[in-house]
Amino acid sequence: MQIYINGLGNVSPQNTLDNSSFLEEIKYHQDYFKVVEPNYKEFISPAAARRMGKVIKMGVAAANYCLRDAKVENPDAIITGTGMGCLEDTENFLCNILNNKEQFLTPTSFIQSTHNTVGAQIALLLTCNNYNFTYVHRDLSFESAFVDSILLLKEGEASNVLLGGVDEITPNHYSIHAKKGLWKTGAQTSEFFNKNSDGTIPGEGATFFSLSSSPKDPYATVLAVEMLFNTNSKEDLKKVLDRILSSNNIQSKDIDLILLGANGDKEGDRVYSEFKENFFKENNSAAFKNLCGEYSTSSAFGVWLASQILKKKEIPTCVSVSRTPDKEVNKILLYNHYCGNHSLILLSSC
Amino acid sequence: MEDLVNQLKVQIIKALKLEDVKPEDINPTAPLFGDGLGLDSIDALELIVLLEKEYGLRVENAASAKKIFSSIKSMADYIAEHKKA
Repeated sequence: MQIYINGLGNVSPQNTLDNSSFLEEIKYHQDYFKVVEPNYKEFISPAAARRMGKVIKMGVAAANYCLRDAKVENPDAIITGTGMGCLEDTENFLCNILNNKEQFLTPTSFIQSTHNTVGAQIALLLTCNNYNFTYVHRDLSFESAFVDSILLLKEGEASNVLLGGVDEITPNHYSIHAKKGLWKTGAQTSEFFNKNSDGTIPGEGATFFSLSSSPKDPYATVLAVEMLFNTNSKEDLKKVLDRILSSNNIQSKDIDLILLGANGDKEGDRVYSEFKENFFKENNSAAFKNLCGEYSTSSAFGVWLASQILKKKEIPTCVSVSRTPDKEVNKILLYNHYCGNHSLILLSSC
Repeated sequence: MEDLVNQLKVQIIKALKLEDVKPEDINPTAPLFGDGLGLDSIDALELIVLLEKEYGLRVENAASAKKIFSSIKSMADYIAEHKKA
């Protein structure tokens, strides 16, 4: 059975919600990547929106746009991945506890602070009582949700699935992790790949996909989603790669573009260089996090970018490729890693 | 009393994030729940906390809560009466 990506919805630090345009201009940000927020009133009534934190509104808008794009009214399942959940509401709740000396705790921030709020709000607004699950597996949250979506479709328990990856960043989150030395502090996002500074630049986004076992003007076909936990073994990575290639009856030279999650951090990017050198030395490659920043579910942005490239048959100029492709891009392998957790996602044109 | 009603309107708009509502849009005698402002059970909890935090008043039982939170005017009456005591 083939799995198709029939619809996309992406609220990101770039102008990505309108699928008719494709990264025509790149937006730069100070300190960290912040999403370009759409007019939420197009997607959510003011009465429903008043209690929603930013990440919930981002998620609901992206999910709605995605369903419209795929012409799906009510999905058979809503599966969401998030590494950090609703940070803004969690912070509000914790700050209220501190500021009010554990008195006068209001319910809204508490209710909205749980990680599954985005998936739940999408379902509430759609009146969707179907399967609804949120994966919170740090940097493999989106990939875990992706695997569950594929299993549901392959087992015939759903004919279409709304899959999403959502994470937000807040000033507090930024400053706390800055103290740990994770970021290129005070940087412009245009300095993302500045090798003279340590750390990366964080970001945020809400990216949704309508997956189905039936193609409807699809963007791409999903050939493989694989994860490796807590390993830096080249042999482990090779085993998974071999499995992906052999199960799809292809060789490494058949992959037209390797999309890497390089994030500008010297130490982390060494892993990507070795991956390229060891397994795909001759293949064309590009990076995507210079457009969205580093966050737990940023691979969802990478899948969005790959899907658009495969359907539109073009690589936007803001995506730097190692060399100009000499043939049409039909197969893209996305490789992402963070702290020993790796994911590999193979997509093909339809 | 009018000052208290206006103050309550501003506090309620802020606490319940009624971004598209202005104080002058709210009829002080209109119901807070169902019709009128159309508030729900989560808003009721927010209003209970607002009364305690801003005016030091606790709502002791559900029966009195229904009466107190029927409108902004009834909330203001309750505050005026119990703050005096």
